[in-house]
Amino acid sequence: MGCVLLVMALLAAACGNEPAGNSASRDAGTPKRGGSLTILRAADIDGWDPDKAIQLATFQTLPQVMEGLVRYAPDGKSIEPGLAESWKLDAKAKTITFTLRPGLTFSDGRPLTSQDAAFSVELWRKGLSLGTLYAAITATATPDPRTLVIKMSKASTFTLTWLSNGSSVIVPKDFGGMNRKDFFAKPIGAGPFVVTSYRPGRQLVLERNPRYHDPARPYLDRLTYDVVADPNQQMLRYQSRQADAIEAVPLDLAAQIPREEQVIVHPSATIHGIFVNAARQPGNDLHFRRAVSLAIDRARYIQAVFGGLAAPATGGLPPRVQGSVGCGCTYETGLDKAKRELAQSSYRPGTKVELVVDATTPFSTRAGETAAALLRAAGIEVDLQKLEVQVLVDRQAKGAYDLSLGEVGSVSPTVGDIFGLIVATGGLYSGLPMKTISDAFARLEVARTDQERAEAVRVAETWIHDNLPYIPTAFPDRLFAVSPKVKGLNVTPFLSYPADLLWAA
Amino acid sequence: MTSYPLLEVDGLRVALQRRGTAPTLLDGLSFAVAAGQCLGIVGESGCGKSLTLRATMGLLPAGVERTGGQIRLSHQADAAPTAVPAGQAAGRGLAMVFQDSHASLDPTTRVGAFVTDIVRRRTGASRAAARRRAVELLAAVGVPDPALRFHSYPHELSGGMRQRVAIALALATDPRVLLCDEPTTALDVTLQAEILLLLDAARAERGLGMVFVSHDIAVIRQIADVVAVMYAGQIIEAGPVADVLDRPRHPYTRALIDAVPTLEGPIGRFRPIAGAPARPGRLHPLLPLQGSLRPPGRGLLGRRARHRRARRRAPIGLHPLLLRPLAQRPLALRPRAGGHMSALIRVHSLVVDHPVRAGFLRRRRLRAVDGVDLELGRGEILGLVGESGCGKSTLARAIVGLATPTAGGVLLDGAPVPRRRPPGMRRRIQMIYQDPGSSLDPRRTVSQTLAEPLRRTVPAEKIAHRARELLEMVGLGERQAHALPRELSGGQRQRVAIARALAVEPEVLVADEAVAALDASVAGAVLNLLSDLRERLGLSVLFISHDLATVRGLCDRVAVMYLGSIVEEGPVARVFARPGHPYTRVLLDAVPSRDRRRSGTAGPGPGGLGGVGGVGRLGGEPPSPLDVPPGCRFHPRCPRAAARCGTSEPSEERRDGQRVWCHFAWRHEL
Amino acid sequence: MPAGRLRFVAGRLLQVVPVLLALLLIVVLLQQLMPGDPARVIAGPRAGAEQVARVRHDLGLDQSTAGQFWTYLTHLSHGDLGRSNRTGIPISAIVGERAAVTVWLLAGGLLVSTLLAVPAALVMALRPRSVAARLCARSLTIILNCPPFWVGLMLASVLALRTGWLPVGGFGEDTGDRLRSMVLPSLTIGLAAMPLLARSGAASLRQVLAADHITTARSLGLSGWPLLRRHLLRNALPPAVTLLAVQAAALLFGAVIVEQTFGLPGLGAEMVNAASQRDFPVVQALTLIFGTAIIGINLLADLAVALLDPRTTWR
Repeated sequence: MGCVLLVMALLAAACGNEPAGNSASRDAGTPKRGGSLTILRAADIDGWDPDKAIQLATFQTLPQVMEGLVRYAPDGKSIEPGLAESWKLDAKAKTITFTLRPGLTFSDGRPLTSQDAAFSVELWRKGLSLGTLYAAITATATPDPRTLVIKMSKASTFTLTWLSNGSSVIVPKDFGGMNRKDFFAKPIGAGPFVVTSYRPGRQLVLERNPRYHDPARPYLDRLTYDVVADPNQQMLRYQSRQADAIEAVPLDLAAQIPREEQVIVHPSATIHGIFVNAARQPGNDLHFRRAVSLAIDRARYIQAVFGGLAAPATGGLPPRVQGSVGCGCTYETGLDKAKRELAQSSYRPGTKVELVVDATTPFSTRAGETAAALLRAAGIEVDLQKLEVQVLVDRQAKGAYDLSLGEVGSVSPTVGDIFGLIVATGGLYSGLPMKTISDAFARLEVARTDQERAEAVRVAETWIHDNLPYIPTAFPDRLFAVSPKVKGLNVTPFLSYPADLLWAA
Repeated sequence: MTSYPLLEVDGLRVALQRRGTAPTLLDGLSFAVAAGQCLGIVGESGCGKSLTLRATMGLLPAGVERTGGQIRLSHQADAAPTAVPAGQAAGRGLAMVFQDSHASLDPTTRVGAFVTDIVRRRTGASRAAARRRAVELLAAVGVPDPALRFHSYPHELSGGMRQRVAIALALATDPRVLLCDEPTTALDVTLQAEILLLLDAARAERGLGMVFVSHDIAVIRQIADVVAVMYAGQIIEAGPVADVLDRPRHPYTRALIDAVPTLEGPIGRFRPIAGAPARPGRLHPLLPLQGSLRPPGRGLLGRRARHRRARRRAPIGLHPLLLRPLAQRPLALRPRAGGHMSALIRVHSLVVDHPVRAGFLRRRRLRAVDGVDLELGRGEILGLVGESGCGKSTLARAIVGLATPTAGGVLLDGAPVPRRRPPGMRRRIQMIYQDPGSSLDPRRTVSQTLAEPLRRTVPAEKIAHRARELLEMVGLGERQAHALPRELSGGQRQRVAIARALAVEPEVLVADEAVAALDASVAGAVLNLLSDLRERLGLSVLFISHDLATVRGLCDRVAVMYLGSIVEEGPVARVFARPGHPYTRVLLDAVPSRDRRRSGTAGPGPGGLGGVGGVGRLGGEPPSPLDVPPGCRFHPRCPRAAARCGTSEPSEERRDGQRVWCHFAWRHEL
Repeated sequence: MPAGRLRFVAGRLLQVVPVLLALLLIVVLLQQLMPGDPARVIAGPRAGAEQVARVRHDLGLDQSTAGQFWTYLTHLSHGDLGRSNRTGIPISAIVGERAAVTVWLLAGGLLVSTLLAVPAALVMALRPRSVAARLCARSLTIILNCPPFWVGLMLASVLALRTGWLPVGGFGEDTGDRLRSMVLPSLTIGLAAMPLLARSGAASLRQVLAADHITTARSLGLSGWPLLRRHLLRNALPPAVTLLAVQAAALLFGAVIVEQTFGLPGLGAEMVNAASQRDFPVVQALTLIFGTAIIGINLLADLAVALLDPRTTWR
C-alpha cells in the first residue's frame, strides 16, 4: 500500500548498508534504575499460553513475566540460572536435579515450590505443538519444596538447553485454582515483570515485579509494547518519539533510520530459502533441485532482496546458535552449471513451474520476483503467484505447490529445535523422507561435547546439501531501531533479549 | 373619477440567455388590467402566453431573461401604477395559479401550514389568527371540511382539491392581480366549471384584476372580459371578448375560433389550421391591429405609439409570409351510416379488476370496469366519454388485449377472444395513445418505426414502398419519413402513430385520448384523418375522450361512462340533444361554450340546472372506485336522486336507439 | 403519522429479521469458503495430524454447517459471541473495547464530511456559475482521486510529525488525548467520503430547485433563506440521506484502512488481524457486527426518509 511509495522513495537509497556497530559499544555507563520505555512490534504475542507460541516475540516476552528454571545468557551462547540457582546431572546424564532459589514467590506473593515447577513440566510435555520438544522427559519428582528432579529417557543435553527457551515457563500448580484459559488471560509468574494491562492486539504494559528474586533488576519501572502493524505508522511514531524502539524493522526501511540508531543482528539464526515440493514433478528430480540451487546467485540475490542486509547461506540450518557448524561444503552457483543440471533433469523446457510467495509485504514480493528472474535466466519457466499468507501456509502444508519462498529460524540457543520443525513439516514441506534428519537429531540430543554436536549436525547438513529438500539462499539480518534513550539492549541471534536488562538513559 | 389600471405591462421583451444574438421569445408585449377586470390571453402552444405571465411575475425559467420593458403595479386603490423591479412583484401584489401538476405543491408541507405561513408573512398576524384565516380561506375556495383538510398533505388530495388549495394560497398573499396559467386545463370538465366559478367569484368579491391564460377559446369566452390573441410572441389582436370572438378581424383569430368544435351548431369536418405555429422572434414585427380595449377609465392596451401611423395605413395589412395558409375545405357532411350496422366488436358483461393494496396485508379489488355491454359496428366511430377514473381507459385496454378481463368477454366478429390472443387476432385491433412523444421510439426515424410492424407481413423489398404509402395515407410526406420524432410537431407525431397502427391493417382502431395533448387547431387534422380513414378503409374507431364537443364532431354513437359502467349510450346527435341520464346532462352543461357566455348566476342553462355553464351542483367528491355506492352508483351526486336510487340499481331503458340506465330516464328535467 | 407511513415503518422493521438471519447464515458459511485451515494455524507448523484434528474438534469445526449455524445462533441469543481462538478472550470484551474507537472514528468522519459537503453542495447548487462553485467542483475532483491511505500518511507527516501538535497515531488515554488523536483520522475519512456527498447533494438540490413546487413557492413571495429551509431542504434531503446510508458501508470499510494507517485499535484493525490469523470466531463476530451495523444504518436512513417525505408508503 503506502509501502509502494516508500519503496519508490527508497530506490536510490537502498544500496550497501554496512552493519552498524553492535549494541555493546552503545551502552556506555552504569544502568540507571527507574524510567519507562515504549517498544513497537508489528504483531502481538500469540497469547500467554506457552503451547500457542509460534512467533519470536512470544518466546521473548513470556519469560519476562513467567520466568523458567534457566535462562539464556544475553549473548545467546549459553544458559544461566533462572528460578533454579543450580542444577546437577547424574552420572548417566539422564536425570537433572534442579535446586530452586530460596524464598521464591510468585508476583502475587504466593510461594513458589518445586510442585509448581513439576506441574509446569507436565504442562510443557502435554503441549500440542511444542510437546514433542520435551519428549525426552519421562517423569518428575519433588523430594522437597526446593528440589525438582527431571528424569529423561536418554541423556538429552538438548533438553537442558531447550529449558532456557521462552516456552518453558513456570506457572502455579493447577493454575492457582483457575482454569487454563482464564489463567492465561491474566498470567501470574515469577519473572522480572508483571502484567499491568494487556489489551490483546493493541498494547501490553509491564511493570516491575517487586517480588522478583533479584532486587536489582529489572531496571525499568515500566515497559510498554505497542502493536502497530503498518510500517509507516511505526516509522512516524518512532520519529516523533512516541516510541523508543522498534522490533524487527522491515529491511526496506533501514535507510530511514540513522546509523547510530540501528541495531543489526548480522546474521540472525534464520534461514531464508526456496522450499521445493519434492513429492511431485518437477521437484522430485534431484537434478532439477540442483539446477534451482545453482541458478540463484546468492550474492546478487542478497543485494537485490535484502539490500545487503544478509549473509549468503552456507548451510541448511540456522547459524550462530549452539551446534551450528555448516556442512563444510559449499552451495555453488553458476548459470552454466544450472543449465547443465537442468538439461540432465526430467524438466521439459517450457513447462510452467509455480512459485508461490507471500503477497503482503514488498519484501517478499521483491524476493519472489528476484528469484523468479534468476530461475528464468537458467531456463526454468517460473510463474510467480502472490498469495495471502495463510493461503500460502495452507498450500505448503497440503503439498499443493511447486516452489515457494519462506523463512524459518531458531527460537532457542540450540540448533536442535529446528530439527523438530524440519521433521514435522517433512523437510520444510518437501515430502522427502526425514530418516537421516531424525537420526541426526537423536545423536545431537545426547551429544555432550561440542565436537559430538558438530558431528551430528554435520550429518544433517551434508544430507541437506546433497538432497536439497529445500534450497537455502541466505541468512537474513534483523534490524532493530533503537533511540538513544534505550540502553542495555542485547539481541541474541534467535532474536530474543532479556527485558530486565534494559534501562532508560 | 379616474381609476387607474392595477397592472400595466409595457413593451415586455424576453429572450433566451445567449451570447451574441439571443432569440427573442416575447417581442414587445403591452397590456393593462383594471380592477375587477379579467384579461384573457389565448393562443396556441408555444406562442408565449405562459412566458408572459412568468415574465410579469419575475419567475422566468433558467436560461431565459427579460431584456426590455417595464412592469407597473398599483399597490393601493386609486394609486397610479408604479414600476416594479424585476422579480419583486411575486407575492406582493401579484399572485399566480398554475396548471395543476402532481408536484405543484410542496409534498412535504401540510396544506394548512402552508397557507398559514403565507398569511403570516403577508399580514404578520399571530400564529393562531393566521390559522383561523387559513381555515377561512380554505372554506372560501370550496374545500370541504376545511378544518380537517388543514392537516392533509398534497398527495392526499385530489387534483381539484389541490387546485383549490393553490387558489387559496394565491389569495392568501392578498394580491391585486391574479395571474392564472391554464389552471383548469388538467381538470375534468365538471371540475373545470367549478373552478372557473370560483375564480370568477373571487375576482368579483375582491375587486381583483385577473389575467387568464388558456389555449381553450371556450373557457376564455366564459371567464374573460377582454381578450388578447397571441401568436409567436406578440399580441396580434385584442379587444372585448365578445367583439373579438364574434367578429374577429385578424384571419388568425378567425381560424383559431373556427378550429374549436362546439356542442351547438352544425356538425361538419373539423377545421384545423395547417402547418405549425411559427416560432417567436422569427417574424417581422407584426403590425398590431386596432384592438380597442378600453377599460373603464384610462388605460391603453395593445397599442404602441409608433405603430399608430402604420395602423392607419394598412388596416389588416399582413405580411404575406406571415400568414399560414388556411385549410379551407368545403364543409361536407359525413355520410351517416343510418340503420343497423353489423357488430364487429361486442363486449358483454365485461368486468376488469385491479388488485390494490389497501391495508397492511389485505388486498382489495378495484373494480375498474363493472359489467359493461357495448357494441362497435363495422365502419362506425363510437365515442366513449367520462371523467377521469371512470374506467374508459381500462375498458379500451381490455378490448385491445392489454388488460385481462376478470369476467365477461369480448367477441370479435362473433368469435370469442381468448385470454391469450393469437397474433392474427391481435393485429385486428390497434391502439393509439395520448402522448405520441412517448409512444414513438425517440431514436428511430419515422420510416424505421413504420418498418418494424411491416416486417411481419410485407416482404423486405416492398417495405419502403408500403411505408411511403402509409405516410401518404396519413398526410405526411418524404421529409417526415426521415425525421426523428423530436423533429416533428405533436400533430405529426400522432399521425405517425396512426400510420404505424395502420401498418398491420387493423379493422378496429382504439384512440385513447388521442388528441387531448394537441391544440384544437392541430387536433382537427388528426380527427379529420380518422374520419377519412373510416371512409376509405372502412375502419372502425373507438374514440375515447373527455371532450364532448370533439366527440360530437367525430363520432356516430357515444357511450357515457361513470364509475365503471355505462350510464347512457346512443347516436351522438340524439344523446347530446336530449340526454336521458342526469349525468350526461351535467356533463353537457359543464362544457364551456365557444359561442355564448352562459349567464353567471341563477339563470337556468339548457336543461335548467343553473349555475355558470349550467352546472348543477354535483355535490361531493368524485367517489373512489374502491367504494362504489349501492344502488345507482351516481345517486350521491345526482341532482335528481330519490330514495329508490340508493337501493336498487336501475335497469336499461331504450328509446330510439338510445339506451339509458336511470330510474328517471328522460324525466329528470325539473 | 398517517397510515401509509406507519405501514412503511412496520414493514421495514419486519423486513430486517430475514435479512439478519441471512447474514448469520452467510457468516457461518464464510468459514467454508475461506481458504486456509484455522485448526492448522492454531496448532502451529510443528503439530502432527492428530493434534490438528483435536484442535479442529475443540473448535467445533467438524460439525455440519447446520449444526454450526444452530450452535452459533443459540450462543448469540445469550449474548455470547464466542472466544478468540488466539487469546481465549471473550469476543464481546474485545468488541466492547474496540468498538469505541471505530465509533469515534466514524462519527468524526461523518461530522467532517457533512461539514465540508453541505456548504459545497449549497454553493454548487444555488450559485452554479460563481467562482466559488467552480472551485468547489474542481477541488472535489481532486479529492475524489486521492486514496485515503495516502491522504492519511501525508496529513500525519505534515501536520503531526513536523509540528507535533497532533499525535501521529494511536488512540490515547484520556479524553483530551483521544480527541486530538481523532482529528487526523477523521479528516482523512471525511475527505474520502465528502466528494460523493457534495455532488449528490448538489444534484438533489438542483433537481428540487427546478421542481414545480418551488416555482409555486416563489410565486407566493418566498425566497432566500425561508424558501431554502421550508421547502428546498426537506425535499432535497431524502436522496442525500439515502446516499449517506450507502456511503456508510463504504465508510465502514474505509475505516479499516484508516485504522491501519494511523494505528488505531478499532474494530477494523481487529478484523484485519483476525482474518490474517484465521482467528475465526473473531472474524465471524465482526462480520456479523459490521453487517448488522450496515443493516441498521440503512434502516435508520429509510426511517428518516419516511419521516421527511410524507408520501412514503409500504408497497
